[in-house]
Amino acid sequence: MIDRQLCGWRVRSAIALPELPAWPDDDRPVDIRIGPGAVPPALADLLHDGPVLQIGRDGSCRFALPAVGAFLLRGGREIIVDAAEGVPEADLRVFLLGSLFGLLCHQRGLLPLHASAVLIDGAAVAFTGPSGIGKSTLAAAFAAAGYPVVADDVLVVDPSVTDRPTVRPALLGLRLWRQTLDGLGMPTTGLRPARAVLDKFAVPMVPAAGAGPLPLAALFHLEAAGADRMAGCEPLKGLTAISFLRDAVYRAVMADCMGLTARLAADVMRIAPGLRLHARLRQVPGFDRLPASVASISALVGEAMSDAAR
Amino acid sequence: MADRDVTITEASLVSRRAGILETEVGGEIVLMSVERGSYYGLDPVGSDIWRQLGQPVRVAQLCQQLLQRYDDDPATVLGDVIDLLSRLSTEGLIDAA
Repeated sequence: MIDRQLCGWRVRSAIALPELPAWPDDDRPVDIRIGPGAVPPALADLLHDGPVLQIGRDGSCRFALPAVGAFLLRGGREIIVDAAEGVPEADLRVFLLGSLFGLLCHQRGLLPLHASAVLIDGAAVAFTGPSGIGKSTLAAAFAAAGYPVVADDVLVVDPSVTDRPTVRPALLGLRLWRQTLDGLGMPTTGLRPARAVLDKFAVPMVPAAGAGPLPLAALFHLEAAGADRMAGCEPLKGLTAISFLRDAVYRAVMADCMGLTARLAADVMRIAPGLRLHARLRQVPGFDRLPASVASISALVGEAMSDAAR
Repeated sequence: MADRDVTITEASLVSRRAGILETEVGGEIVLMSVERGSYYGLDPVGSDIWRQLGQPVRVAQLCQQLLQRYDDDPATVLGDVIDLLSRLSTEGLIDAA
């Protein structure tokens, strides 16, 4: 099986990860190994003990769901998968590229955000917000307008780059519900289901050029506009900006359980001031409004970039 | 570590506590005491006051500096400054003597 790339790491996985670009044929050593194996029913010497997640004092994580299986993550470099009987690989992938990916980032000192992102004028522009608010849908609308996709659902910020917020592009595709694909007028024929039990599809996208780091120019917190809340864009500053960014951290509760609260807080404080545009974005829901959203967001980003260049 | 409640007066000498993380977003400063792990946000005037606490300063002198920038009643400024500094002290963000 060929190696894959994820955030600049060379990944060798016994579970197929077709969402990820192939690793170019070179002699770089493997960074992360994913393979089958026995995962013990409990870790010894626990820092945190929960029904789904256990964290050992040595930093190793045991993540388990009855109908899916158990995963053991060690040293940010090895994931052992003990799959439940008859679980389709697609379901394992959802967790490998979801919670396990998040835990891996936290173990490796990266800051994952719960966000999807696209590339506008050479910089990543990210959309965060609660599940179901339309992060992937908005990214898909940008893709339909010709913008490359940088990440879906998990956007990895590298806090070790201190001069400006920098992200590591991750996935090639978006995971979209059937109704979203229908709403965007995209066919579902030939698509792989994102997960056996969900009516959701893995949709390949034009990737952001190369797999190298990209500046993160803008972060929008998506909210639904309604009768009581006008649509609009409200820039964030001070404590509100910091709190919103902290709330956008992917699997933050797990990171807290890992004892990383202070590091997360410091990373958030370092990253927030470097965003050219950091705002709440309230939008009226509806597929027919997406092209207008794409136009107004790219205009807002263009304005923020030219203000910064001035 | 619980801070003793220090009463701040005009004569107090105040300064930023060592090891406090700070950042500025959109002109407003946010502080964090690593020890306590919680954020503390300052409004624009509070941010301005914080910027002047790099070196130990007497509260009276701090108020004088602020009066040169904000056209306000000296007694009001003193009251507001003492109020803010007392909260910062309780949060473990400044040292007061």
